[in-house]
Amino acid sequence: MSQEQAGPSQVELWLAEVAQKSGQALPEVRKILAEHHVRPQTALPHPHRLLVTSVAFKGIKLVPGDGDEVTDEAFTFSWELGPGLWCLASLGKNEAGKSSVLEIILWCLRGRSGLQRDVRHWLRNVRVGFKLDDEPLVVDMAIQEGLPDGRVISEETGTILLEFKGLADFEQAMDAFMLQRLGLEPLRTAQKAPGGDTEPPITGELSWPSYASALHINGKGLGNLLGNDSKHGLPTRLLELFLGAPWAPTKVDAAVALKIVNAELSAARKRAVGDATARKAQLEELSRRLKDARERLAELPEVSRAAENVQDVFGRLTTATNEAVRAQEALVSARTEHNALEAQRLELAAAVHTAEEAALAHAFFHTLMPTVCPRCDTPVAKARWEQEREGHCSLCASDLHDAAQDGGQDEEDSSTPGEELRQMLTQVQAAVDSAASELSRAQRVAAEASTARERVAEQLQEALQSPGAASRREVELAVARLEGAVEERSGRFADMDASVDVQPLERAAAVLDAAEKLAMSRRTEALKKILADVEEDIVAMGRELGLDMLKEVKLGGNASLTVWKGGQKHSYGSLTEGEQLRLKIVTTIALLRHGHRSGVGRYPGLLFIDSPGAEEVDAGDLRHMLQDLVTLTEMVPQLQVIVATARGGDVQEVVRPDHMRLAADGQRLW
Amino acid sequence: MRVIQAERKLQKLDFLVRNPDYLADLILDACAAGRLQKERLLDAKAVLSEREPDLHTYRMLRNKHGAYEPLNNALAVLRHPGLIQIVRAGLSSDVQVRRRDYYLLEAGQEFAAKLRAEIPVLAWYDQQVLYVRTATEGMSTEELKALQYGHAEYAGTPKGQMIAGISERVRARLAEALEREGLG
Repeated sequence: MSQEQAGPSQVELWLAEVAQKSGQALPEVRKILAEHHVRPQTALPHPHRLLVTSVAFKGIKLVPGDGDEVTDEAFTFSWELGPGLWCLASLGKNEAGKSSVLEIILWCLRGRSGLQRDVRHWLRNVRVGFKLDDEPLVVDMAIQEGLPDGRVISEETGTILLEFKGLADFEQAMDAFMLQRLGLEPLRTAQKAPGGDTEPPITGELSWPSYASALHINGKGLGNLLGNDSKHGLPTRLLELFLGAPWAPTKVDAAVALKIVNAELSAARKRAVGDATARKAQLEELSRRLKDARERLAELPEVSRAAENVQDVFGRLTTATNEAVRAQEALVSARTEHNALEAQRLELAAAVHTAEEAALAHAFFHTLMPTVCPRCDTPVAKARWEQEREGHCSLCASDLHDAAQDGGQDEEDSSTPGEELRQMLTQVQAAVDSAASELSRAQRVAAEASTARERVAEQLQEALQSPGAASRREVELAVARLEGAVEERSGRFADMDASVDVQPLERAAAVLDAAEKLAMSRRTEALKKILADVEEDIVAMGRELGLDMLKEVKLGGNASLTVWKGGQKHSYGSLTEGEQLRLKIVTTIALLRHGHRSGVGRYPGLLFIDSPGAEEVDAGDLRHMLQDLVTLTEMVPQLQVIVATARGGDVQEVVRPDHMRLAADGQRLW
Repeated sequence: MRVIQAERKLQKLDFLVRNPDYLADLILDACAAGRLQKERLLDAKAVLSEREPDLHTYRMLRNKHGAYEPLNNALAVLRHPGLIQIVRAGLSSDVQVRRRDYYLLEAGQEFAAKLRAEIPVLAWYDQQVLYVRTATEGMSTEELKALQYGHAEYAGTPKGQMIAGISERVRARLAEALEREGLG
């Protein structure tokens, strides 16, 4: 209780330090931490206990017979367990199914299967009972073609807590269920993206199967002191988990958030630099274009002149067109007039001509004497010619005098019809001449008007097409646009967008950086005291387990282990596998013991050890190790350790018979 | 003695003398058909544009069988002084006149020569008749008739109406022919 009371004040203290270190106001710090899901946390969790109480399964395995034959063979297995050390053993036989039993139990607890595929396909029913903080739970599942279909039941009430179908479904359901029940937070992780600093990091969560890997010590993850994977700082996380390190999740949250922010910041800065470069290049390009456009504009005629030209030319074209039309109309009417007169003249001329010809012919014919009657061809007699002297026609006896007078008048009188015609012709000729000159004047006027119109039309065409009008307007617009663009890019807002991106990120980065460092220092401070004790335990237990040369170890806050043996300094990774296995077991046990002693460790008190005697461990050492584990379980009543070993003979003396399942010589456990 | 056989032929020839445009067209036809030499195209040019055709065009009326005008009065002028003679072909017992032939008498030839010599203005007709004669040489009345009916203006004129001229059309045709023959 006292710790929880101290919590808030410690949180306030931490927040104040973060604010000071980052140079940001306290409300801003709170806001940034909340935005990035960084939880200031010092409250120590309650330890939780996990205890396997039973495992039962059945199935049908395919056993190769003689030749190609395969025979079905049903199998069942069932085992009741409790606290303490439990052992699955065979007598030197490796394929006795020990590991499979461990994996089946782990599958049910983790939700993630580490079983061999063929074994999973043999299984038909699996039932694993376990106690979680004294609540008995059962994972009960039917398995078809290797795929689970089952549920988690609370044994006391029969309540179905989870139902799942399929591998992924089971894993997800179990992940959420166990994290919540064990009071563990999914830990955020961040990995550098392959694209470099400017890419956002790949984020993820450490989930229950990752935590649970610390429950299981086997040959696979020996290279890691804790757990079976070094990714995402898992060993460090597990160390913190074992020791209940305060501020560790806060530190992790802050670190992950910082990585994300830094990536954003890096990208934003790069962009800002890129923007600035691009802006500079753009400005130069725009300025160049502006210069070009201005030069082009200068070469063009004045805009007012060009515009006026078009307007003016339009007006003149209209006038010229009207004039041309009027001239054409005048021309048509002049031509009509002229043609009418000309037709009249021609008619008259023809008439005059005819009259003259007729007159001439008449005169000539008059000199001839009639010889015959034109009607009847009767010759004209001499007596008839005599009549003409008396003034009578020799043919028809009509009075010749009148006719002669008519004819005489024709010759003597100047005002004969022929003469009238001639005078008329003269007048008409004069009219035609005047009409002709009028016509030619009209033609000239029309031609001039037409030429003028064409000239104006050409001018208009020129005015419209010349750069003076269309291009001028365009170039002017271009200049205006470019001027605006250049001004905009060289003005005081030029760098605004970049700083908008960068500044809040810089503030967040400062806060998160401070938060991470301050949380880390608190966590490390808290761990430092504990780690020294743990180191002593490791050395003592290690010597017991046959690591005689072990002088000293140094357990780092990052779950690194430095070993001094035989006067030499070694890192955990450089040791032999046998040494690694023993140190891993010893370290795990030491951490468990400490966690139990201090009452703050959150490790659930369950450990699986597969084949501890596999790596060059002699019988005595193996017995020592198991004895130590027995002692540990006696010290910690709730602790359960389940060991699988092929060296049943060596461990028989140490493990209680009722805690041991020993496969008979050459036989399988199931 | 010169003779023109059949009144219809006389009518056709009269039409050609009085309508220079149709005459020019006939000359063009004759040249195109090869009946006349290319150089005669110049005759057509003379007839159509150089010899004041406007003053010498006397359009004719359209009658039942084409251009026709009664000849009696006109020929009486030539007949009574004994310049021509009109002879009816066929038998004296014929009820209808089969054909009239028009003879130019010796007195007529002499008189024409005198006219030609003393009144130059009238020599125009002398020349014009020469063109007609050259153009129609060897043509039958039927051929002349067919040619005249070949003109839409001629064939299309209703009976009793003046037969319209074809000057514009012939002018274009002549220009084209002259151009083609390199005589323009």
